[in-house]
Amino acid sequence: MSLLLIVLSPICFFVFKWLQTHYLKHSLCNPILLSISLISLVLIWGDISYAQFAEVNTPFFWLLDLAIVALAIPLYKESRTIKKATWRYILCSVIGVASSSIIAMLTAYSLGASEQLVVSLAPNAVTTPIAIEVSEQLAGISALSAVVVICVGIFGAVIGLPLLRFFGVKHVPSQGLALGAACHAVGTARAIEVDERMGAFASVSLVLSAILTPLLLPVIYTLLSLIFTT
Amino acid sequence: MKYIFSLIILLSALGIAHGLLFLLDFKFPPAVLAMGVLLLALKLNIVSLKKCEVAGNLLLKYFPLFFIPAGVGIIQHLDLIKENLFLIIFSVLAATIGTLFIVGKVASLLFASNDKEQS
Repeated sequence: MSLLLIVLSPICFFVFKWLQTHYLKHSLCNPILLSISLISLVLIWGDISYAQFAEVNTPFFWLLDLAIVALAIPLYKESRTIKKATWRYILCSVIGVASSSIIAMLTAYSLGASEQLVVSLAPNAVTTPIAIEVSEQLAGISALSAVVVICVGIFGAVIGLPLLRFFGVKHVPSQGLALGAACHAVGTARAIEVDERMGAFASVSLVLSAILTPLLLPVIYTLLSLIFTT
Repeated sequence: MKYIFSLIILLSALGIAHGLLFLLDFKFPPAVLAMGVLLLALKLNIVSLKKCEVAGNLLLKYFPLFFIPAGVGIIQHLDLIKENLFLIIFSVLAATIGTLFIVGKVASLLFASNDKEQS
């Protein structure tokens, strides 16, 4: 039983990944989202508790931590390319982190969401592993953040570029920065597909928001909750 | 052997981050701090990019696989999601569209002028 539970994630992931590269090329067929959905169904049908599944899969949680550390590698590479005009990139990223979290939190608060839900929705634009960490730190539901983030990425990959053109953003680097800031890795992957230069800017935006979100979000959240509770 | 050495570098960064947070009694995601520690070590040439990349690139390649089990945790909160489905979709859509618009506009403003200066 334990063996079955631990091989479930890799099997689903590799099968869906293979299907996506060969047959289902559309961004909507995201292998991570499909894997999460299928495994969730298996657990529900098999009447297996999440606690049991998580315990067996502990090694994946360790690897997740290690992979976050490894994010320093692309970060280091990008830091060499953005030496020029660094502050402009940082400013864009700060604005991206602030707008994505503030808009989500304000909307959720005004629609009457609970504190826990508001926190879980706040890190919606950052790459999934960071969203999981930040959400957990602020006592949110990290699994909800993960799923929300992946859905945001898929939405952005499908409709992000047409939307940016509709808004009149025609400058290619700016399109890349916006996609990276709002739709993290999935948006970045789409940007790379369309235009290599756009992809490069999207990944700069992606890595910057990976550092800035854990730094800024607790501050933004504290300020907003002060305003809303008084 | 290369892999083990590379893993040791990543694990040490994680260890240092955990130690720092424990000593400073500060709440922050340890893995993110460890990423900062490793970045600093790369910048200061304490560790070489090549050595980190051996295990690092492998981990990065299969990154999505590692957060599938975390995402499956969603099944514990299905009722909460059902009750708040509209709220969740609406807030997140507003945030994504708003961010695309704001960052797109700001970046055009900041970088378009930069391009003109250069030309």
